[in-house]
Order: sequence, then C-alpha cells, then structure tokens
Amino acid sequence: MNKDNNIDGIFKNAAQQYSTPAPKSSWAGIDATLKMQRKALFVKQMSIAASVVVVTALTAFFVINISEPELNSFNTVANNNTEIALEPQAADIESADLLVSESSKKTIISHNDENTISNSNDRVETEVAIKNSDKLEETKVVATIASKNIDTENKVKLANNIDKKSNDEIAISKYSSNDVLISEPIDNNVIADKEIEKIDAIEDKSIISENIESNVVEGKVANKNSSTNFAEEKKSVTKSTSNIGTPIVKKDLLKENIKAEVSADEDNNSHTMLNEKVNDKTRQFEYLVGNGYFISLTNAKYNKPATPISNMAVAEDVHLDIGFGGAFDIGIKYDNFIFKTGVRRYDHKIHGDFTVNEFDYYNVDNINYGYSSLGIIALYNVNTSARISNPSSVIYIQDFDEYNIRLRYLDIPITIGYNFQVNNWSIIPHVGLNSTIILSNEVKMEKDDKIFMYGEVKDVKSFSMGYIVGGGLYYNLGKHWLLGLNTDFIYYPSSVSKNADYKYRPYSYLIGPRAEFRF
Amino acid sequence: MKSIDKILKACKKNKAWAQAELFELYSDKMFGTCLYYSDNKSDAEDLLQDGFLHIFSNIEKFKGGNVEAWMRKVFINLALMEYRKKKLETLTIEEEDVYSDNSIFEGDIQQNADELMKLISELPTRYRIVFNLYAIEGYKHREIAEMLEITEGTSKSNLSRARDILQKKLHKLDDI
Repeated sequence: MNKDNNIDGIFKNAAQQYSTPAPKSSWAGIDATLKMQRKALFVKQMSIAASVVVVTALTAFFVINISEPELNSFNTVANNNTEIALEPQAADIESADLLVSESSKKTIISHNDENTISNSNDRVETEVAIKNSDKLEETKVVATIASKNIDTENKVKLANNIDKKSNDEIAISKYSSNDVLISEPIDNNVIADKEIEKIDAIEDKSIISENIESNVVEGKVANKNSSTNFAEEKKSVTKSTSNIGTPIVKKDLLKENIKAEVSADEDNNSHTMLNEKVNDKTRQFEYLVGNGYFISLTNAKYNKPATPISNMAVAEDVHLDIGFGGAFDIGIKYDNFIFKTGVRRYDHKIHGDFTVNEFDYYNVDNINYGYSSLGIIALYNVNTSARISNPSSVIYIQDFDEYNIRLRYLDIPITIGYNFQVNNWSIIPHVGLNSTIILSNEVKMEKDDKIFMYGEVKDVKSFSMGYIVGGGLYYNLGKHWLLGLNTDFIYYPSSVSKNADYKYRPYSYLIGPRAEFRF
Repeated sequence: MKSIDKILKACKKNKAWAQAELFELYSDKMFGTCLYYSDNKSDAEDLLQDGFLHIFSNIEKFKGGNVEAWMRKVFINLALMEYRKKKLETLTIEEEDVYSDNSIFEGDIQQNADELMKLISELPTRYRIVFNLYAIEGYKHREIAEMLEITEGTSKSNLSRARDILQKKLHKLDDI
C-alpha cells in the first residue's frame, strides 16, 4: 500500500508541476472559432431583430384588418353593359380589372376601371360583393347607373344580406345593427331619404331624372345608435353632357359607416379628380423618403481602468460630447403605421482635458503605466500611428493639455412608428433597432496647440447594436411633404469598446430637422 | 496583467481580450493535462482547443473557487468523452514486464516532471486514464468505473497494472 501511495504521490506531484508550452497554433484555431461564433451570434441577433420587425409588421397588419371588419374601400366603375359581380354572370361580363385579396376574415373586391358608358341608353349595373367569412355571410352593394337618357332609371341599390341562420348574435351585433340609409342629393326627382330598418332588408333606390346631367348618390350604412347626418356626406353635382362614368361604390370603415357614392361625371378632369380622391381613400400603402440633419449628443461613460498602476483613486468619468450628422431614410406607410430604415452618418468628437492628480510615466507605444484620472482612459487604449514630436522616453502625462478622440459612425436604424394626425400636424412616435458601424477612430494629443501624437483607440468594435426610442413632430405641407423635428434616443446595451477598461457611448441622443416626401 | 477575477468577469461578457488572457494564463498548464490524457500530441492539441472553446462557452457556469481546478475538470471530462467514443474494447494494451522490485521508491527519486509525465503518456490508454483519475485527480474506483463505463474491479485491475508498468519504467529510468 505504501508503495502504491508512493508511486501515486510521485506522479501526482509531477502532474501538479507539469506544464508545457501550448502550441502557438492552438490560439489561432481557438480565436478563429470564437470569431466564427461571434459572427454566428451576430447573425442570430440580426435574425431575431429581423424576425421581431417582421412579426411586429404582420401583427400590425392583422390587427388593422381585424379591427376593421369592413372593407377599407372599394370602388367600381361601370362600363357599357358590364356587370361586375363576385359571381359573374358570364353573358354580361367583359374583362374588368378585379383585384381580389383574401384574408381569413374577408374577401375584398375592388375595381378601378375607368370606362364610361358610350351609349346613352345603356344601363349598367354593378354589383360588388364583400364576403366576411367569419361573421357576415355576404354583403352586397349594388350600384346601378344608367345613362343620361331622361327615361332611364338610375338606380342605386344597397343591400345588406345577412344570412341569419349562419350568424350568431355577435355577427348581428357587428353588422346588422346598421341601418341602411340612402340619400340622393340630386336635384332631380329623387325619392326622399329612407331608412331601412330591417336587418336583412334590401333597398332599391331609384332616381328618375328628367334632365339628368350628372348625379351623385350617396348612401351609407349607419349604426342605428349613431346620429349620423347624411346631409353632411352629400356631394356636389357636376355637369354631365354625354357619358355617365365612374359610378363609385365606396365602403369606408364600419365605425364610420358605409358610404356609397355614385357619381356621373362628364369630363375627364372631374373624372380624374374624382379618381384621385378615390385613390387617396383606397390606397393603403404610401412610400416615403426622408432627409434630415441632427445634432448628436453622447453621454460617454468611461469605467475606471481595470488595471490601475498604483493605489491612486481613479474615478469613473462621464461627460457630454457633441457631434453633427445627416440622415437619409426610406419607408412604407401602411395605414397609420410607418416602417422605416435608412442610414445616418456622423462623427463624435470627444474632447478631454487631462486632470492630473498623480502621475507616472508611460511609453507611448505600449501604454501601461501612464495614467491620470482621465488620461489613462485615452492613453491606455491608444495605438500610436504617428508622432509629431519625439519626446524623451519618460513623458509626464501632465505635459499634455488635451486629447481628442473622433469616432466616425454609420448608423442603420430600423423603426416602426405610428402616425397620429392632428389637423395638419403629424406626431409619429417610433421604436426600433439601431445598427452602428464604426468606420474609424482617431486620437490626437496636443500641447500648447501643438499636435504631439496621432493614434487610434485600440479594441474598438466595428459594429454595435442599440435600441431606438424616438419620434417626430411634423407639419404637413400639402399632400406630399412633411417638415418637422425628429429625435432619437439610442441605448446601447454594450460598449463599443472591446476593452473592459473603459466603456464608451452607452447611449446617445439625436435631434434635428427632417423633411419627408410621401407618395 | 489583470486579475483573474476581472478576466473571468470579462470572459463571461465574451470579451476577446479576456479570452486571450485566460488562454495565455492557463494554456501551458492545461496542455500538460491534455498531453497525459491523450494518446499523442495531435490529440492533445485538439483537446486543448476543444477544452478552451468549451470553457469560453460555459464560463458562466463557473461560480467561483479554484478556476484552474475547474478548467482541469473540464479538460478531463472532454478527454473522457473522447476516450469513451473510441470504445474501450478497441484499445490494445501492451503487456509489459512487471518488476517486483520496488526499492526504487524507497529512496529519494528526483525525476523531473517532464520525464514522469512522459512515462505516464507511454502507458496504454486505459491504464493511463485510470491511473490519472485515481492517482492524480483523486477519484474513487466507483467514480472511475462510472466515468469509463467499466466495473470497479476492472478499474482496480487497470490501476494495478498501470502502477506495475510505471514501477518498471521508473526502475529503468533510474538505471540509466
């Protein structure tokens, strides 16, 4: 047993002392793998970020659609002997641009053709059906419009067919609580406004015009609990001499009632204007391009060096730095949601005065010994690229008046915002992710306005991610332009420094004017 | 040189400089461990890389104490995993003469660590591992049996054989 213990002890002691130089290639292999892992982690983080954006966008999309059980809008344009229907009647149908989109909730049909009736005696009936698969079995809005012939009956029919059998109370409360009112503000022989009280009633409204030039018929399905005044919705009548075109059946949000417009315009201008108006209402997507300039403020916080040289107390340092920059962005506005991305370019110049409490010396190329309460932060992490002067080997840190660090950034923000419209003002709060590429960094040390040394900060990351919370206040200059003030607060969870000795730019704040063009 | 606590803290934040420093601090020691748990230098190098990568990715599991011991355990566990992969039955054991004379251990033997470790590395794989685990790391036969998926009896037998071979080799070394 003693023999065994003896031999075990010999080898145990030897093992504890044993150490042999690791192959130099080992670290290269480990480092390469770690870099790959970091890269993979970055890709993973970006994937997560992208997923969050996509999920948010999709959620917003579905929330919008679910909260709007109505068609946002649709319009139909009657053509000569053309009937547009969900289930077309083959004999009467000519080709028409039907845009059908389906969601789990409804089928939307819209038609944007701009044909006109060439034969004055023609009669056109247009029917558009909206299917709501979850609640409403089918809602039909039928617009029938005829020519200018005075004997022709111009009829607008709004129908709200609800399959009671297949709908429960929710469905009824959601849809059938709407009364259908039809109003014709036509200066012809118009049947007076009438209220359709029954849920499933189908009401035909006829307009007999003795001398029809044009007509506008508006109808809306109103919530019976609301006190909607149809008179407010009436449109002016425009002249029509030849053709009757562009009957428009438009349905707005249920909350805002359903409105049907049938308009007969003669000339192309009014027709175009009308279509523009309709397009404004029917468009769901808008594109935007923006450009802005800003002041950037960073509250750079430096940790005290992890390896102080002496027992000197080195405090953390926080100070404000200012930079300037410009931004360009593009985006999509869907309803009131705005998805935006772009680039921002700016520099941060960090200016610091040395405040020496105690000093030691340092070697400028291998700075391990020089420090001050602030100077160590710059010096400890500086790689010298050029010396302007050639000081002696022992330089006292107090000999320097100041140093400047300049970091050049390229930001790629991705944000989602919501457009609150108050009269002509748009208030757009947003949140998002900010990817920062650090293009370069520069350190300059000066004394008595004489540059002593150029260099760069060591161990600065080339990439950093942050979160954005911000917003803009814009004034709407006409239909397309917005001009206002944009601001972003960017928080970086981790420092741009790889070195634990200092932490730089934990957050920054940008504010400046921005112009936006929407189309 | 930064303190080990700072380095570990930074390693937990995945700081490259800290990983480099940790490697610098312990690579030689751990490479030694890798050598006497591996069949050859190439395997030891692989083990060294795998071990440090494993350490960097699991550093948050280190809750304090002796970091060197913890790292050593990581390397040993990885070596054992590799060993199990290779299947014990495929490993051949070189039978060597066993010296009954153990007088060599009665005197002062000042063999340097390199020579002694070389002797260990020359042991057949299973003997070497059992000996390392028992004599150097201080595991019990029951634990070794579990780790290597062998019986306690086999562990004891392997240890005995390893000791015999080492005795013989030490004797030879002493003769030289």
